[in-house]
Amino acid sequence: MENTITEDMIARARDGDMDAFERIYRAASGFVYNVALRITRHSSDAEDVTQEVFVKMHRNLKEFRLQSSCKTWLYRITVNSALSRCRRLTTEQGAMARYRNEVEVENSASPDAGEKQIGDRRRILDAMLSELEPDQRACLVMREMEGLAYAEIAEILRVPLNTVRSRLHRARKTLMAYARKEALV
Amino acid sequence: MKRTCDRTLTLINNGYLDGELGPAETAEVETHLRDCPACRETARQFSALELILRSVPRESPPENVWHGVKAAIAGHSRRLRAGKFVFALAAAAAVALMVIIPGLLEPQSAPLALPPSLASLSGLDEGRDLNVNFGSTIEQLLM
Repeated sequence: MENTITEDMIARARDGDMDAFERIYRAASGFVYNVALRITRHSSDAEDVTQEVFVKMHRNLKEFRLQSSCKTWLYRITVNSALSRCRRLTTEQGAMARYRNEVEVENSASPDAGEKQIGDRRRILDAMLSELEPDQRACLVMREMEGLAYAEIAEILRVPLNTVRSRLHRARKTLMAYARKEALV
Repeated sequence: MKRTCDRTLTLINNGYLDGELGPAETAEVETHLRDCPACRETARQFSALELILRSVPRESPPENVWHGVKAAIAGHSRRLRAGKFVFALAAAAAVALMVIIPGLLEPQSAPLALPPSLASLSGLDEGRDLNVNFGSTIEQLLM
């Protein structure tokens, strides 16, 4: 998590202090948005997930007594919301059409060299992540981008530790095959 | 590929890359990597893969997301307050009905004045009040 959410912030937000809730949002919205973006692979879906997560969080503030429970809860709700959005995509053609539209929008902006490099990396990452099952993608995002330990991922997803191990194992095997084929490594 | 290579590659992709192996297994992998160029190359490729996965900078959600959150929370609070008002109104109405309905259901025992035509039919004096209950005395009177 980028910035710290303190127990004082949670207590004040629970008492209806919207400034305190905004500080919680500023501290945590970055990781919520990025996790959602990598799992759903679409910025509009990631925005919807982020909004949904913080509205749910506000309604459930009374549940959080400790900062750690808040962090786990945020990851869990984010991952679950993002995964359910992935499942809602009815056809892969529909998803691909949306992806192509987003790429076209990005390409039409004529970015400078630095932005282009980041854009290229983003497209490579997106193409790699699209090779994975959503469950594997969720595990990989939490491990590689969020740096969470296996035990933390298992707690967030409420799955056994060995399930996390095997999902990561399969995900990296798939990605390695793709990276070799595309001469990325 | 040797059996030890298979085992090493499995361990690399199943805990070693993430620092999740115990000390004995970590030492086993590192000893093998020192002696096996092919596995060393595969380990390098896995490290390159990790770099690709971590190379994209984090992004911030657009500001309109926070506005959406605030609006949704405000809308929910308004609905909650409206719901409480409707509940209070319903509770007040229920209490009022509980007070009024028993009063309406009580038997009528007030004196009933017969219309002059009925009084004359039954031979009673005009203008004299008669105590009757509905459904009993009045029916006998009219028979």
